[in-house]
Amino acid sequence: MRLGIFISNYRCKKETLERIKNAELGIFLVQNGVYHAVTESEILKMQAEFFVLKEDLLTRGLSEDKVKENIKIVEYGDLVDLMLKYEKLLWM
Amino acid sequence: MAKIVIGIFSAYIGSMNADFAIKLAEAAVNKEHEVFLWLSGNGVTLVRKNQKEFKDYSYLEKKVEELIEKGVKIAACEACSEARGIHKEDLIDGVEFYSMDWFMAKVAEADRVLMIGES
Repeated sequence: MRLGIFISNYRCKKETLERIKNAELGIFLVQNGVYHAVTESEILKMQAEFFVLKEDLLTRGLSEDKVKENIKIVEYGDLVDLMLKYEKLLWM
Repeated sequence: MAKIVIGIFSAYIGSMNADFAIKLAEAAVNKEHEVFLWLSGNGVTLVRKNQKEFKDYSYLEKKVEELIEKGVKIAACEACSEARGIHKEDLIDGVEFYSMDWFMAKVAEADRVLMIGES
């Protein structure tokens, strides 16, 4: 099953995500979750496709070149398309 | 074209979740998906009318009206609203007032469901 997870804060821990079994993960970093994209976050070691919302990066004064390589920078329209690519959606 | 249900259950003021949900709903309807926005818990505060606009606060009443004009169906949970002293006549024009079973029916027929909020 493809599971899309919106991470909206920086408190989210890798241990929480590791409890999710048998799912192909897409992780969407939004709101304060974007800080995972520009720091050495444990979450980025997960087996997943990573996306970060450009608007929430820029709102926080974070530049796109600081985003880790394995993370794709997206806009709201892309998020809608991703919602349809992943079968189930979760908000954390 | 897909049926997308977005739910918000966290408070309107004090969290950016409502702002996020509104922008996501707008992006989805602009892509010609059928979008339902369901407000429950403290999320119902988003659709109370006559909100005053302050510089440092989210102000989304106009955005809610715009989304309704674009065809987004927006509904508030009756029980959650009444419990907070918000009655049908207090809602932004065009916002509907339903009980939980309307929402369950929408979820059952939706292609995607995203519930936004935290405790």
